[in-house]
Order: sequence, then C-alpha cells, then structure tokens
Amino acid sequence: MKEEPYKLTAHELIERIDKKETNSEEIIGSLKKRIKDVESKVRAYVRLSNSHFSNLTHNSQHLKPDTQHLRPILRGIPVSIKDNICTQGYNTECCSKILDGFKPPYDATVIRKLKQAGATILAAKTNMDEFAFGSSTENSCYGPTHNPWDLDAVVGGSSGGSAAAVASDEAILTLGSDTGGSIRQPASFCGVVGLKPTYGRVSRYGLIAFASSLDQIGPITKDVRDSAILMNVISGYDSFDSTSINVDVPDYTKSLGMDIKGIKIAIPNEYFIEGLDKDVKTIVEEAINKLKSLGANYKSVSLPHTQYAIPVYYIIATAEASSNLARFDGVQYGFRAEHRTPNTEHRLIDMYNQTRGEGFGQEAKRRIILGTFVLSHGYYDAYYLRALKVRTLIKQDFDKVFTEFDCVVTPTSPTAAFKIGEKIKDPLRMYLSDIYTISVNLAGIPAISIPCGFTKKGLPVGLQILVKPFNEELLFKVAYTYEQNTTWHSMKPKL
Amino acid sequence: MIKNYLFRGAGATSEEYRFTHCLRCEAGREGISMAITKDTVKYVAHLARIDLKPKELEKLSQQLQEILGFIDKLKKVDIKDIAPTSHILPINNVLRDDLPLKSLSSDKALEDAPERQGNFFGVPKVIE
Amino acid sequence: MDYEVVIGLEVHLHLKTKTKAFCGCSTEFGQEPNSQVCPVCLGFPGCLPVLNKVALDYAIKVALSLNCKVQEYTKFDRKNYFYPDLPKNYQISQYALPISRDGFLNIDLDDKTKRIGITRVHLEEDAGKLIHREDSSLVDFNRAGIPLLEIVSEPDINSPQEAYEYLTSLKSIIEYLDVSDCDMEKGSLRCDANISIRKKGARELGVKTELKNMNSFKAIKEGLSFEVERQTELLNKGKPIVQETRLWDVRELKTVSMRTKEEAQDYHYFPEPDLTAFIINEAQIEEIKKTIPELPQGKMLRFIKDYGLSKYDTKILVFAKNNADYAEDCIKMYPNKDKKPIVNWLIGPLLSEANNRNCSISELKIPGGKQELLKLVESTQAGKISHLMAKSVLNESIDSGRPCLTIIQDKNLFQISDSGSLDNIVEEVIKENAKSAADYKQGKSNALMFMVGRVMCKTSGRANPKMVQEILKRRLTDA
Repeated sequence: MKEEPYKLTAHELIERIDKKETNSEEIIGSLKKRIKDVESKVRAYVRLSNSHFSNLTHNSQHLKPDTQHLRPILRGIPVSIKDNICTQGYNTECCSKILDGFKPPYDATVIRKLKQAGATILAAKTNMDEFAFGSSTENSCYGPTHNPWDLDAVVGGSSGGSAAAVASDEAILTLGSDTGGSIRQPASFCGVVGLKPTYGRVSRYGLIAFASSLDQIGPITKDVRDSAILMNVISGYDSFDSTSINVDVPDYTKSLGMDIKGIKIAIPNEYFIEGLDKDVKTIVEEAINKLKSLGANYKSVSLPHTQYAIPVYYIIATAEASSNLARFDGVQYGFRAEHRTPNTEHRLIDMYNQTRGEGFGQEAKRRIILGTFVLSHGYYDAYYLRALKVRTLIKQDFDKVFTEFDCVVTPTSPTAAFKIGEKIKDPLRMYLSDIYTISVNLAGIPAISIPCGFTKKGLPVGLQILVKPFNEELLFKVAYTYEQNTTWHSMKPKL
Repeated sequence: MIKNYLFRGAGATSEEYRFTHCLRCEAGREGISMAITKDTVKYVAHLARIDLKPKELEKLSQQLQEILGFIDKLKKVDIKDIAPTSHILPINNVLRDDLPLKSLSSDKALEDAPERQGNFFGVPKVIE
Repeated sequence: MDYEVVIGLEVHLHLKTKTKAFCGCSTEFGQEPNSQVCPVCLGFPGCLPVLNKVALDYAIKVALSLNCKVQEYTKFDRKNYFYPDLPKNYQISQYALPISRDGFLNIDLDDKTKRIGITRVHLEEDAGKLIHREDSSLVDFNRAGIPLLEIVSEPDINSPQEAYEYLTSLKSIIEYLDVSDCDMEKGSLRCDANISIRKKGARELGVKTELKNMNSFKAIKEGLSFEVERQTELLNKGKPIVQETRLWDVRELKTVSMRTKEEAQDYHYFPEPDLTAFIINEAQIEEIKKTIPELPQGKMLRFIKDYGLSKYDTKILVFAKNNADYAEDCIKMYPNKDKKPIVNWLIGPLLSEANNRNCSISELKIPGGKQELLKLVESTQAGKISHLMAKSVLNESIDSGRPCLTIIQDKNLFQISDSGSLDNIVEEVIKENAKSAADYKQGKSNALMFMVGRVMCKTSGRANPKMVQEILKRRLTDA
C-alpha cells in the first residue's frame, strides 16, 4: 500500500479492501491524520473536538445488509455527512444556534441505506450555510469554510463543508443537499463532482427541510465513478416520503461508458450573456468543444424564462422555508431563550420571539420574513401563486428542449470562488450568483457539476450537465466520458 | 429609488458588476411597485414570531425592499391560462396502510426537551 | 323587535383509524403522555407525512352519507400559526380543495323536516393536548396527528333546538358508519358554534360570535340559548355586538369573553408540498358506497312505510344502529299487523333497562332471546300478566338468567282476570275500608284509586287493575 488511503477515491479503496491491501481501520486512521493536518486551515467539519477525533465514526455493522438491492459495497468506506441530514444519536444542527444540541432519535433514510451498505458514517458533520440558506457557507454559526484552492476564498454553499472536505482529501465520500444549487455550486468552486438527483429519486426523509418541493440529497465526490456508486446506495423509493418516486434504480456504474457519439447537447443562450466571467466562459466553451471532439453535437437553444428563475425561486423556496422552520421554537428541542419577561401573560410569546430572534442567523431571518410575507394575506396571489405559474413555464422550457436534445450543458456558476466577505453583506448579489443552478430545482430535473478547468487565478471552474427527469444514466455517461478524457479530476490543491 | 451599489473587494469581475448592476437598474426602471415599509416588516416578523432589534429591522426593511423590487419583474410574465406547479412530480395518491408502527418511548421523545416536567414538555403558561 | 337567530356549527370528529393520519402511531385514548409519538407526529426536523388510506376512505364515506359532492381532485394545505400544542407550528389541513362540499343533513322538527346545508367536509390532523398548571403549561402530543374530520354546516340553523337536532342526527349517522366514537367526553367529537342574530326579514347577517368550550350537546344548546338572550338584550338596548370568541362556562351557565385577539389570524395557507394530491375516481366512490349501511333517515322512512309506525316512535328506535337492527327483527317476528305493542316495549321498558345497564338494547342478555321477549309481550296483550308485572319480570330475567315465562310460572304471577275471584276480593276490601267506600260515595274519586291499590296489594299485584276498578265502581254504586 504505497498511496495514503485518504488520497484515494472510494472505488480505488473498495478494490484495495477486496484485495486485502487495506482495511477500514487503516482508512479511518489515514483520514483522521489528514483531518488533523489540514482541518485548521480548511474548517470543513463542525463540532470537531479532540474527543471527537477518537470517536470520529459510528457505524451499525449489526444492521443486516439489505441483500436484495444493496450489497455491502461501502464496507470499510467512511462517508461524511452534511449537518442537515439526521443521524440517530449524533448531533445534527444545520449549523444553527437554534438547533444547539439536537440529537435526532432516528436516522435519515439515506443514512440507513448507507449503513446497510456497510459504510462508516463520520460522527462529525460537514459545515454548511445555516439551514442551507446561502451560497458561500459564510452563514454558518461556526464561521466559514475556506477553499482548499485559495484559503481566502469561499467554498460555495450551502454544502460547502462537504465539497471542501472532498477537495482537501479530508473525506472519501460525502453527502450534501441541493435546493437551488447547494451541491453543484460548491462542487464547482472546489473542483469536485456534485450531483443533484431528479426530485423524488432520493428520499428526503431525515433531511431537515429547507424548501420541500426543491430539496434533494446528493453525492459530492472526488470523481464520477464514486458519485455513481453513492447514487446506487442512496437512491430509491421510500415509503416514509410521499414525494419519493417508485421507479427502479438502475446500476449507475453500468452507465460509466465512454461513447457519447451523436449525443445532442443544447447550449442555452441565456446562460452565456453579460455577467458570465470571461475566464469561466472561455473554460466552459473549451469543455463544450471537448465534448464535441468526443462525438457529441451541440446547438444553441433558448430557455426563455431563465431570467425569472431567481425571483420564482426566492418566492417559492422562502415561502416553504418560512413554514418548515416554524417548528424551531424552543418547545421540544434545541435552543430556548432564557426567561426575561416578568410579565406572565407574555412569557410564551416572548419565548417564541426571543428564541427565534436569537437562535436564527441573519440570512435565516431574512428568508423567513420574506417567505412569510409572500404568503401573507393580500400578497399570496401577487407573489406565491404567480411564482407557481412561472415555475410551470420554466419547466416547460426544459420539457421542450428535451424533446429535441439529450442534455443541456452550461457553466455551473457565473464566476469562480469569490473572496470570503465579498458578497455576504449584499444578499441580493449573493442570490444572483445562483442564476445557473436554480432553474434545475424548479424543474425537478437532475444535474451534475464536474471540474472542467481553472481560472488564471487557479480557481476551479465547474461544467454543469442537465438531463431530463430520471435520466441520471445519461448524466453519468456524458460526465464520465468528459472526465476520463481530461485530467482535472486528478488535480489536488496544495495544502 | 434604487441605491447604486459600489462593489467592494477584489474578485468582483467587471462582467459580474455589470450583470448584477443591470439587473438592479432594470428593477429600478420598472419601479418598485411594492413598498415594504418597516411596519410591514414588523407585522410579518410578528407573524413569524421573530424578535428584531431596531437596527435589524431597519437593515432588513431596506434589504427586503431591494429584493422585492427585483422579484417584481415577475409581473411582466404572461401567466394567462397557466396552471400553477405546486408538485413537480407526476404522482398522486401516495397512501399508507392503517398498520401500527413502533412509537418512540417518552424518554426518547423528551430527551432534548428544553424543559421536561414528568412525561410532558413544559412551556410558559398559555393564557387564553 | 322580532329577531332571527342564525347559527352555523363546526364539528370536529376523531376518525376511528388504528393509526394516526400521517404516521403509524396508535390512536388509542388515555395512554401515558407522550408515549404514542414518533418523529413524524412530533414534527421533528426532517420528518415527512404519509396519508393513512383508511382516514381518506372514512372521510369519503362520511361525505357521501352527508350527500356531499366528493371532489375528484383534492389536496392538503398548511395552516400556519404558532401554538405549543402544534408540533410543527402548522397544521396539515385542507383549504382550497377539500375532499367534499355542498351536502346537507335533514333534521326532524315536530311536524316537518328541515334541510341543513353542509358547506364542506374535510380531513386534517389534530393537535396535542395542553394541561395548564399554575406557573406553566404542559404538552402531551399523543393526540397530535390523530385524523380529524371537519364538518362545517351552512348558517341554516335557526334555533338552539335545531342545533341540538342537527348534532344528534349527525352523531347518529356517524355511528351508523362506525367511523368515530363520537364521544364528547373523550374529545372524539368537538363542536364550535357561530351565532348571530338579525332583524327578521333582514338579508345581511348580524355580527358573529364564536362559541367554544361546550362539552356536550346539552351544553351546546344551553350556550346557544344564553347567547340568543344576551345578544337580544344588547340589541334591544341599542348596544353593539362585538365580534369575538366566547367560552361556555359550565359552572356559571353563561358565556364569557375570551381575551380578544390582537388581530385576525392570518394563517397564510399554501399547498402542502410534502403530500401528493389525491384523485378520487368513480370506482373508488362506488366501492365506498357499498360499505355504507342504510342510514337513520332512510331506515326511519322505511319503518314508517313498512310497519306503520309513528314518526316519534321510529325516531327513538333508529337513533342507534344496533338498536334499530334488533328492533326490526322483533317487529318482523311479532305476529300482529299492529306493531304498536312491540314498539312500545322496545322504546319503553327495553330502552329503560338498557339505559340503566349502560348498554344498547341488542346487548341486553335476555334469556331465550327475542323469542322469549315476544312471548312476554304477547302475554301482556292477552291480559295474562299485567304490564307492570311484566316489566319487573323482564328485569329479574336479565338479572337471574331465567327465561321470563319460567319466572311467571314459578312465581304464579299470572294476572287474575276472572270476575268471580276478583269479586270476592273486592268485597273484602270494601268491608275493610268502609271509610274509603263512604268517601267515594260522597264524590271523592281518590278513594277509588286507594281501594284499587288495596286490591292490588292483597293479590300481590296480580289483579287486573282495569277490571278491579270496574267491579269496585259497580259495587260501590250499587250498594
């Protein structure tokens, strides 16, 4: 065993485990050492203490593997989890003060599936924007994660911790969540692979909800093969989730072929307008040409309602979030503000107001108030109902394109990673940076971001591929083909 | 009146500046059709049970004003005869059988309770 | 000033499903606090609801029985507000597209039938329970998530009595369907009222008062009656009626104003994104229709038509389904065309026995079953035993486990109806009670009944009282 385990991908480790060249303890030990070495710079994990290091993992090997669908493919492989996915008995706090100390009494379905597949779940969670509200992981109550490629730059968000951990080799496999780009954008900023599945492909049971009609859990990994392996494990119908679809899960690793001859790619005009960084544009155009050289054909199309995606998203997502976050009130779990009111009559309402006033961060408050406003009496039709209708139009744009094309290719983000502190004081500016990822969630379609180059400043750039619902197999095929014909995925930051 | 922002910090490319600036100006040209006053924000914060300090209220009102101004561009879209999408999946009738499943023990349910009284969750007295 | 009372009723019913609306926790009443809970009904972060199929079926069943139009496309909405007994601080309910609308329920008023419109019947989840201590409140979430059916009436009810009739009719139907226990004491049936009064003939509704905290049908009637008086008095004095919520105080027997809320509640409803919509097709509706038994109203009309019963009698008989079924069996078995005797027994002594024993008529363990009962009834009709005696025999039969006729035989309880024997006893009594005889002759009719009583005493209640009266009268007048 020459290479340090922490540097390898899951599929490489699985091979070595099977050949008895390494084992679970060695892998965990290697990972722990790596985390100890670089974590103080990157800060990908939260609530990591010395005692945590000795207690870094938990797994349930007593759980019988579900041999019908899953083989213990992840036996010995550690998986790092975003702080909004429930792990029984282990703190899950969405990086928010208001969930301080919360230990879920149950596992999310994806966690149960990971355990059944033999994975080792890391007890320490990865950093995120509080309640997934953000695009930079600067809204975490623990402070920001630093980009392994430039420690003064953000990692993107909200699954920034997961993306950074993968980029810095502090994790082998990770799970993130994506509501408006929260897997893909950090993956692009950190030069790793991030996939948002079709809405309904992966169970949301146990994902602390942000926007129920947009959220999905997905893998953030070192390469496309690892993503396919993880998707095999976490996908599938769940009777505990009414919005999970009962459609068979194919073996996604079988889609990792390299023949994309004749694949028809649509390039939407609206994603290549003013505002796209020049560097990023050049890199993405080169990537598209690469795909062409590998046999695909591309053509310009229009997704005419793209410009409305952000307003639609910020109405629907905040409306749903305002309701989903109403439960955080200090009654059953988490933070409760101290009694300060001598007046008994107001004590209850003060408890609510103060708990939520102190427990939520600024961005959370902003979104909850915006969301409550667009649903409130007198404004519902003008905002919420209107947004739902424009959402239909956005979806129809994609439906139309997919009748003629196999996939859509775009940059993942208009820029590479910006500096920490640069956009945080300007919420609208932060929201506008989600422009390329948001429509995907509104349409419920799957999308992947893969590394496709570096800016002149050495920051990673992501290429986004979109396909029609439940066509992740094509997604993997195109992504894998590109990846295996380039070397971006094997580049590592100097830490 | 839209504030003209000066983007600070390195890393903001000129393209990005023009992009977001243009979007803002667009909203400004259309005019903010919805004025979200501090009173409105206060009322909504009360609906949402969130205490806002005076400085927070001030800042939030300004930010929300701007965000809503941007969101107002949706008014331009022709939505005649368009059905709203509240569920993106083409599925209906997801039901479960009326079969009992294991419940949590009271201890587990109350484990993280900020105030536990016997087997109850305690809260400040509810006055009706 | 002539006023018209306008009442609308909102009934909430716990559905008798085994598990809660959106999770697999048990719905059993009276368990240890917070022992029938899970992450879903506790509203823990990350949890998702999945609708109970039986709850939906029951909702459709009730809707059909109340003549409602079942909607082909129905979905759930979130009703958002903050309260400690609401785990998620929103309730999964139905607002825009409820399961059913536009139904009606007929109520019987003395000599006519009145139709009360039903605006909607929809499904939602219940909240937990709050217990108030001196310094704090305690929350038990066992009840949170239990499926509730909300039945909203049109403001077609025009008196407290009509409200009472509406509720008893509704309860009767629900019990026939066996979808809820309808027990107000256990909280499986709750009712709030909206009441206003207006000048007779006016088209606009008066100011509405919401009435809560009425824990029995009687209390509802009393509460509404109190409100009618209170509001009438205010209007007569020219004072305005404040739109408010009032609570019924069962001890003081009056309504009391709740703390007025600062503002009207804005529930900011929106479609529940965690649940799919539900499409209810004709086939499903037909399947459910098949499970609906003959309902009280239909049964009542049939009893009147087929058995010639009176409306009054039938109403009592059909109120509870198992009673109605038992009664119909008895009526069919009774050989005479005139069914009044058996009906009188059913609504009289049998119902009385059942009430005393806290059970239904069908649950009374009458030795020998319906056949024995009929023999008893026939015996009274034939004059073999007095009605009073027969009632006592029935009671003893149920207690002892011995058939009625066996008791009558063993105790020699047959009625004395031959004039010869009665003559002698009457003569004895007249002799022993000369003063009473004299009183009667002087016009004091009470004296007659006294002497009848003496004869009954002497015969241990076996004398035929009618005959005794006649013989006494004859004797006293003749003499």
